[in-house]
Amino acid sequence: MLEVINQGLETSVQDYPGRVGYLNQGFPPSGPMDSWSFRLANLLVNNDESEGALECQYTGPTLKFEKDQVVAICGADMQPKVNGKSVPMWESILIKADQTLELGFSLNGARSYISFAGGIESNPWLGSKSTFHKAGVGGIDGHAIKKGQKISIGQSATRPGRKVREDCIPNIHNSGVWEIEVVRGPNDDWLDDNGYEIFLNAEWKLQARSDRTGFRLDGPTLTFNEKATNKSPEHGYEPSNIIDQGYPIGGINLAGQTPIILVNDGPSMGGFIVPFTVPSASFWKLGQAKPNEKFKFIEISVSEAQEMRSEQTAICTQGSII
Amino acid sequence: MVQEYKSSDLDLFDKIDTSNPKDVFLKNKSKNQLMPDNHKSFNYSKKEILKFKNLEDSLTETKSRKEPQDFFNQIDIDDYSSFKNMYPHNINTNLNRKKLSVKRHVNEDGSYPSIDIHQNSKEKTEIFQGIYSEPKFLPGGDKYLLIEFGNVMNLELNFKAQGLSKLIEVANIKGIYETLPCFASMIVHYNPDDISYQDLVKELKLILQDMKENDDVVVTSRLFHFPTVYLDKWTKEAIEDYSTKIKQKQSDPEFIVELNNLDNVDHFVRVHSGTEYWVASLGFWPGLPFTMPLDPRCKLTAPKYNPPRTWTPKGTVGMGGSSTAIYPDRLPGGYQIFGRTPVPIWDPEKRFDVFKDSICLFRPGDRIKFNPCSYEEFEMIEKKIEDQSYKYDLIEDQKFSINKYKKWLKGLDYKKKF
Repeated sequence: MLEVINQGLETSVQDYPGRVGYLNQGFPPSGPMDSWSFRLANLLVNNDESEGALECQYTGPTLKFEKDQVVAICGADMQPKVNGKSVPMWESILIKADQTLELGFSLNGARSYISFAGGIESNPWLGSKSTFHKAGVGGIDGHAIKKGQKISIGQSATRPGRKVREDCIPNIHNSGVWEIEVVRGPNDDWLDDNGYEIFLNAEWKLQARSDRTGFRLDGPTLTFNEKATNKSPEHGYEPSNIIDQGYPIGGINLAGQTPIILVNDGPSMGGFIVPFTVPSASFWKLGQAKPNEKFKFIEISVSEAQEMRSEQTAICTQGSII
Repeated sequence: MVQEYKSSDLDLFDKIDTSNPKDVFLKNKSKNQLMPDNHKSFNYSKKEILKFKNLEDSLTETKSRKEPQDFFNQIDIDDYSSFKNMYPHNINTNLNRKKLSVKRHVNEDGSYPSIDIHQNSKEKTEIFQGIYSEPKFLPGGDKYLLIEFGNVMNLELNFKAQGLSKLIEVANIKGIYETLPCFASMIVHYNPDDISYQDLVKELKLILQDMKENDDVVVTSRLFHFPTVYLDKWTKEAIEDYSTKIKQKQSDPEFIVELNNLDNVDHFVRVHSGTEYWVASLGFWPGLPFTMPLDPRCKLTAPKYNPPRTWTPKGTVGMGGSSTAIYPDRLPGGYQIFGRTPVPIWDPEKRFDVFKDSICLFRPGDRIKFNPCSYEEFEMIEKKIEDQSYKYDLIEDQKFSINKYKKWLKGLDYKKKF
């Protein structure tokens, strides 16, 4: 059992890969934004990679432990301290009974993950422990954790001092520019060649109005093919309007002229075109990008995206823990 | 004021015979996840899918016909094995671990590659409007695929999407997590570790081939009646709020009247409430139904808000394109809005029986009828919902046959004024 002393900005229970199989009822998968760091955190404390853990955004929580507990912190550097003393990240650590783990604001990256040996004991909802804040379901009472709440943790014996191999840690950086892979489609032919080039050559700024449902981008104006302007009225009148369709997670939705990357808690369908899609292996970068940082998109093919995914899956295994 | 179906129209929707185990099985099958577990654990062959479809067909044609109760025999199992050998799903497990150099593809002359992933490059220059002769397969990143059946809002396209979604579930193809049928398209969510993009397309084409041979699609459909205050004060307030804070705009019902050459807002209410609506898809928000009018004489169109509204009252009825939706909660949105229903369409607390199986009321293939009501009725129902004495007004277990629906369309009086 642990007690929430301070909730942080928005700290929620997530599991991997989240709520799969309910898309046709309108439920997005939820789950960790940076599943690379998330899975490593679980593996460090000998949990299954899918186990429920905490996702901390921008500013982390303060947690008080009732008994000895092995935990691991991976992802953004929120300067974790136990009873005021700095503790390492990407490593399993022992927190003694009555000690307090405190995460502050993020020095680099945006999301940090705290895993607990034995996992978080919360009731799965539709097969997943992931929190879907907007609809108030999953996680603990459907929402981010709150001050004063008690969270129960499962039983497991794991040793502290297990580390992630240096070359298996994602490069969470502070340069302010992220190179994000994209795959063309499904609606790429709605842009004309010019619009397509503008999209890939521009530096897009991540708006502050971005959250787990969508990442809004500021940038140049895109141009369209005739397909976007010469169409039946039920599409809607804006060039970016299309007859409502299902959205892939990671789809870059063009709402008017604002690209919105639909992420883990995003809408499952809607009436805007999706000219590009961010593949799952690049999601960790979205998860670690902060508002006002820049995105540069790099086009890759479907098979390259699937290969990247395989590589990441291979990294997220016990073989990466020493 | 409210147009009702004639009794001959109602023949369209045959009532299911619940004493027949086969009927019950098919009923469950159409309810997607509610299939009995013992059936779900089977791998179905293409032949079996056909068989199911034939069963359904015979079910709607003659209910008395005797069919064997077991669904597969040794021949089917053999057939499945050979089918499986023909299309192995596990060929993509040879993982290449080399580090990828991810660069944008640039042609030698410095230009960018043309779209090669779409089979139909002609589409770029010739804008075709309607149902495609061959559906398009479009990638959505590494885990999703979009199948587009056409580029108009035509019920037939949704019937196709729902039929295909049903067949994909029955086919139980390894690597397919789920499907999301929509108006003119469908999303397939898959695991690339289990099936490659190319193999997935191959499999889907095979199933589509089957569908062509079996023209009719029969869907289990429930009919819900929704008391609705049209031209209500709540949506009016939301529109006014948008007009003052975000962008000046005409009242939504008046805007629809103008665009669709209707006489006035009362005429609009008669037209909008004069038909049943087909639940084509659920999405955007848990349980939010995207619906289309079944009576083509009641088809209206309207553009979406730009930019979208920041809030919409819970239970709002609105339309965009030619789709009508109910907002399950207070949500942002882009549809033109003009009515409100007190009846909840999603309930995480499952306070009513209808939410026993899912916290979302609707399933694709259901039908909705909006019945204009007064503020007094609205408040009365609201109270009943509060004390949980409200009974959902629905007719269950109807079979909706696409072919019979098409027949019904032919007999309509297109001169009728609503």
